[in-house]
Order: sequence, then structure tokens, then C-alpha cells
Amino acid sequence: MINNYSQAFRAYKELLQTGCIQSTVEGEKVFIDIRGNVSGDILVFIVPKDKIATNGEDIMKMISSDNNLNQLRNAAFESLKQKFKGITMLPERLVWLVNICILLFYAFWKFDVILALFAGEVGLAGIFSLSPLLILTVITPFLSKFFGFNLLKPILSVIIRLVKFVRLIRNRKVA
Amino acid sequence: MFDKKRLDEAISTTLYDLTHLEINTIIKDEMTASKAPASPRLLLHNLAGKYDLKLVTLGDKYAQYFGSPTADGANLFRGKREKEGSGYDSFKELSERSKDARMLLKTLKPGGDFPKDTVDADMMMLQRIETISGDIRRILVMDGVDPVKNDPVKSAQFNFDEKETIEKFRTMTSRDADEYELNLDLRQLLVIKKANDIGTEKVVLQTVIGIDGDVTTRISKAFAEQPVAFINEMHRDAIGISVEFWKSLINVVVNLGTHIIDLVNPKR
Repeated sequence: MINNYSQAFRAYKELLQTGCIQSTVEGEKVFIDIRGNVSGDILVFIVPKDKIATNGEDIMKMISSDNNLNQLRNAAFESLKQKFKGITMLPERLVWLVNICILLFYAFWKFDVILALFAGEVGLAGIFSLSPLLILTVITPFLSKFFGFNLLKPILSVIIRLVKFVRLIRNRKVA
Repeated sequence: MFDKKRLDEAISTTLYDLTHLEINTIIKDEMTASKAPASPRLLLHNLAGKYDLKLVTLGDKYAQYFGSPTADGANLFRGKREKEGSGYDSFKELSERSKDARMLLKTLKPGGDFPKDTVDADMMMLQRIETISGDIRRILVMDGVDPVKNDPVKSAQFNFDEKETIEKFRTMTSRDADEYELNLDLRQLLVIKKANDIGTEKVVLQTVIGIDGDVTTRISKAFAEQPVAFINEMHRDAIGISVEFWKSLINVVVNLGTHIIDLVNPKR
């Protein structure tokens, strides 16, 4: 559990510092640089180590003749996967918590109707009164992605303000 | 109270972001040791520099065919630089010049030094510069984004379409720089960062996945003719991770559903 949270912390730290999560490996002849952002988009960069390859064809030859690349590729993707896992952890926990609170409240409020429905006394009014449960379940995939990341905004904002405050004290140059 | 147009745009772009994943595999010429700047203003300046350089390189390449358009030997595509910064007008200039260059390239008869594939790839690159520059201009004119835009005092002192202003901004303390920094939301920042990351590099494979099940993969012509298994596998792995990331969020709902059923019907 602690390991998971420390992984999440490291992923968020990287996200704040660079705006993305990144995994880079160095082969004999090429670099592989993989970057992911919070919306799940991924950029895979393949870069020659020396700028001797001036056109795409030469780079393709370099890739084909680099013996370590397959192993390194697995390592790079595994590292990125762990970071993504860390990033999803917090929204998952938050949305889960928010939804469970809403649903518990609703289930408590409409407990009689739920019991009646499960006892087989199906009525239109009962189904209507339970529709919020259904709607919430349907829209949760959207909520997870939207609210999940938006719920992070205040946390990120506090951290950014803290960083700015420290910089302000140190009066560092921008570049 | 609400700007309806802005709200509509925000909703539609957010919905698109929520329901689509994009995976790009890119071949880059070289790796720079320096990190991309954190400041959005400096990121934009980096990007404008990349677009400027690409227009110059392509202009030099095709000058042997079309010749120089002016007596003073200005670059064929970039022309005379009116704006050397990275404000609204600078991106407008880049967008217009790349559009003009694309129109000019359309008139070229492929063959000899300029085979059709090369010309098509260059036209796509010019199209990219035009489109992204347009997107950036749209962000820059949005209300509340540029603190300099509607402030007569600040705009008299700082014109981000001038190179000197960028240099001045670069050496400011963070406290002073913050007053002139762009106020971007997360999505706008991602658009700029992604544009800067991709820059003018060659995208060999691109996959866009929609939640409705649509999957579109674009493959560059050169790569389609001579595919490399390793790059295909890399791209496939990246798609796997991206989809897994999305799937993990959907799993939350499944688990939640299970919990609720257990809650209301413990004997199940």
C-alpha cells in the first residue's frame, strides 16, 4: 500500500515538473523516449544517438541493427505502465469515494423502494425513483475521467502555488 | 454571465478529450539535452522557432525549382520576417506563410529531385504548421488567457510578437514574469505541450481510438512501403498501455456496481 502511494507521489511529482510522465531508454544506436499525459495520449519518440542518420531510411537501419532494443522496449513500457498506474490511483480512489457516498445516501433514502423492488413488487414509480442510481452508473465512466482529473486540480494548484511561493522567496530567474 | 460560445467550445473539446485517445509514434532527427521550458510563453517561442526553421529549410529546398521571390533573396517560404516573437501576430504570419507555401507547392510538377512522395510529405508538414498555428491563435484570443492583451499599460511595455520582449521575459524574476504569463487551463497547456513535443518531426504511425469503438490508424507512406516490425510493436505496446489506462477507470464503475449489489442484496 505504502509502495503504491509512493509510486503515485513520484508520478505526480514528474507530472508537475515536466507536464507529462516519461520513460527513456538508450540502445546501442537509438534512444526511445515515451511520453504520456493525463488524458492517456502517448507519444513515442525514436531518436538516433548520433545525428548521422539524416533521413528516415537510415534510422530504420539503425533500429533494425540495434540488438538491445527489444529488451529495453519492455523495460521502458513497464516503467511507463507503473507511472500511469500511480496517476490513476488518486482519481480512482476519489471518484470511488464520492460515488459510494452518493449511492449510500440515495440507497438509505430510498431503502423501502429498493426492498420492494427486490421483493418483486415492480412498479413504474419504483423504477423511476431508482433511475438516479442507473444514470449515475452509466455516466460514471465519464465522471471518472473528467471529475477524476478535475478533482486533482485543486491539489495540483496548491502544490504549484507552494512551488511558486518558494521560488518567490528564493527570487530565482525564470531561465 | 456566461460566454455561450466559449462554453460550447469548452464542452465539445472536453467531450472529445474524454472520449478519444491518441497515440503517435515519431521519428526524431536528434535528441536535445535541454528540457522543454515550463513557461507556456517560452514553450510557444520554442514552437514558433521550430516552425520558422522548417519553413526556411523547405524554402531553401524548393528555391532551386521556383527561385527566390524577391530581389533581396528572402527565403522562398518564410519570406521577410515581420514578426520574430511568439504572440498572436507571429503565429498568424507563420500560418499565412505556410498556407502560401502549400499553394505554391501545389503548382509543382513532381519528378526529378522532387518525387511525389516527398512533395506530399512536405505539403502535409506545411498543413500542420498552418493548422497548429491557427489553434494557438484561437487559444491566445480567448478571454482571460493573455493578461497583456486587454491591459494598455502592459501591452505598451510588452509586445510578445517581438523577439526582444521574449528575451526580456526570459530573464525576468519568476514574480515579475508571472504577471505576463499566459493563464492556461489544463487542456490548453496540453495542446501547446503536445504541439511543441511533436514540433516538425515525422509522425510515422498515429492511432486515434474513440469510446464508440472507432479506431483510426494513419501510417506514413514511406513507412507503409518499408515497415519495420520493431516500430509496429512499439506502437502496439503504446496503444495497449493507453487503453489499459482508460480501462482501469472503467473498472472503477464495475467494482462500484458489484459493491452496490452486495450492499442491497448481501445473500447474492
